[in-house]
Amino acid sequence: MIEPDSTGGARRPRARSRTRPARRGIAGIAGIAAVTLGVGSALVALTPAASTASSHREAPLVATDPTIDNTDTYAFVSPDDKNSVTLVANWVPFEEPAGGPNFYPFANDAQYDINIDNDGDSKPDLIYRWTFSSSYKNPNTFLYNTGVVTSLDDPDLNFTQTYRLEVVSKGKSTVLADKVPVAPSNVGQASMPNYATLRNQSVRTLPGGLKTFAGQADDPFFLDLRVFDLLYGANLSEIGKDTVAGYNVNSVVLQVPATQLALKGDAGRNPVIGVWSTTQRRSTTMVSPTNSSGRAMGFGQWSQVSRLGSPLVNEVVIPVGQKDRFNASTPSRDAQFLKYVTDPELARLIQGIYKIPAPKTPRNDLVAVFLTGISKGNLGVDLTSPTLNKDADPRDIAPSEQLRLNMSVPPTASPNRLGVVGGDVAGFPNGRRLTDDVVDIEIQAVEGVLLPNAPAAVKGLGDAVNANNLPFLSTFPYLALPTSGSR
Amino acid sequence: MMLRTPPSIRMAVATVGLLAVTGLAAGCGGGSDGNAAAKPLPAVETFQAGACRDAASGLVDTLRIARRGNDKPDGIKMVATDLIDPQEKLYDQIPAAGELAPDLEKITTAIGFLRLRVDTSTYEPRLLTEVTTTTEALVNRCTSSH
Repeated sequence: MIEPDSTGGARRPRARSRTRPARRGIAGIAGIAAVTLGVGSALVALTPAASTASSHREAPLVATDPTIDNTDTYAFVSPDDKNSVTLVANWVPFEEPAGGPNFYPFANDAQYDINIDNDGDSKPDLIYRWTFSSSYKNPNTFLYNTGVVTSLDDPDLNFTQTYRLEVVSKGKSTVLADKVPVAPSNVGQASMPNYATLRNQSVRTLPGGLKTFAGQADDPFFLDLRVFDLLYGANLSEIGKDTVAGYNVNSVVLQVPATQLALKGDAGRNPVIGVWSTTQRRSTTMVSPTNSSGRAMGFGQWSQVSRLGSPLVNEVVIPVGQKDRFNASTPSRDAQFLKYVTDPELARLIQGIYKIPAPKTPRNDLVAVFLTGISKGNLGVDLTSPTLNKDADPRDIAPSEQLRLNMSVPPTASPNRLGVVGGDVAGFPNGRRLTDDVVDIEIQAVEGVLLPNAPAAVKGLGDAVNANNLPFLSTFPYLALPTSGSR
Repeated sequence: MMLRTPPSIRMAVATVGLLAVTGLAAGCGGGSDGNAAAKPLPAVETFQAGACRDAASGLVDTLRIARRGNDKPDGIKMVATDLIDPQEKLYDQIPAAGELAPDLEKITTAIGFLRLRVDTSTYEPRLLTEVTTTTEALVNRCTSSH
């Protein structure tokens, strides 16, 4: 049943007016920003000041191949079922809703994975994998649909995709569901007058208490992307506009009982999991010769081409020369990226522009948020460190970039968009909810909000985009319906 | 299955809540919006010779702009813009300011946060108060023996 969430659906604020550019120093600011962005939009981990949305087109390879471009990953205790966890991963950034005639399928020659590390060794213990197949009912028309589509099995829905969902554990794959229909692209009001029906039909409940969904949705991320106009107009004045509003993404959403995710099946003793999503492609692609089918085929081993755990890391922490490498890397090899976290470029950039001293390095507070999880040993509270898992072997626990979730923290009735920074430990960086304002959280974090004696002025920093443009739903799959092509 | 919130999480909630309250209290302190009645601006010549005198013009400019407050149309944005010059002047003097350096850095940092929060449309009056009070403190120190 599609219904708006009464708590999470605040409308985004209107765009704010620009402030007057600095009378002097604008060239200097622009210069600093240009240099910074030039070396890699490497701002910092954690800022708005940085990127194309959370991970939208963030690296050279995926920027040219949207179907493998993983844009965001979420993991949260289900707001309507505190004994389960909902995992969300999105691909295909900036889907213009009217982008026909082919609209936006998942790739048939890719693996879309959500990885779970439940013992802290930085290796996946569970891999939930979606693979897709496509078909046309009538290849002799240019139309995605040949009439009004009222159901997923409507003969007028010319293009359809289905998926197989499997879980891989200890090298063994188990198929959880097969030939499950994908929710189609929302072509327009004439073609799909009741899209909510199509969404509802694409949600499946599986044995073992799982729920699954794959299909188009509104992009739940919200931020102002004019960061790339020399850092929000060279003086952070270009803010307040949700520049991904109105665009859709392709999402996979899975709800899993916490016991199935936890180490040894015991979410009470072992409540912390690490989550990241990946995409794999075949290592070799062969394009058919001229005057033949015009198709491409993949061969060879599967190669990881996209990776996403915590938001904004590959955008603003990893420099451009390393972004493809990061996307191809596994968490167990993250030591190579440590220096980008301990000495974030964004803090230095803000110091250059505003003369606000960057917090002292190495930034162990950011290491806790992104690489080790939060514990009494680093930030004074036990929250997301895998050392909290009683059955984990401390000798095997290794730092790595993951989105860590403590499944024992119940969902908050009225989530604070600033998550832990706002006093709501059910939110980012304890997992990530759809409503979490990770841009504001991360810019405050990079300016030291989690450090002792942080300046009071750090609280309140942000990009003035505080909520998604559309309300989220109160029930699975929670994502707002995709914007219609006839908007 | 019922998952209970472990004591460590409850402590985390309490700690974060306390931090939030503490930050709020700190943010509410301070008082004026920069327009409160204040002593006349001192002349540069009244500053002690040395680092104080070197910083005098920047300090006086900062104080004058900050006290002007935001009572004009587009006020605080103009204040933020006008503070850039004295901020840069004071910032450049920090390396040679000796024992005054920490106080100068407090002022330039306060200006920095004010500018940043104005630019990001998250300005709060306490930010201007911080600029005023930190500057007044150093001005008083530099002119107290005269």
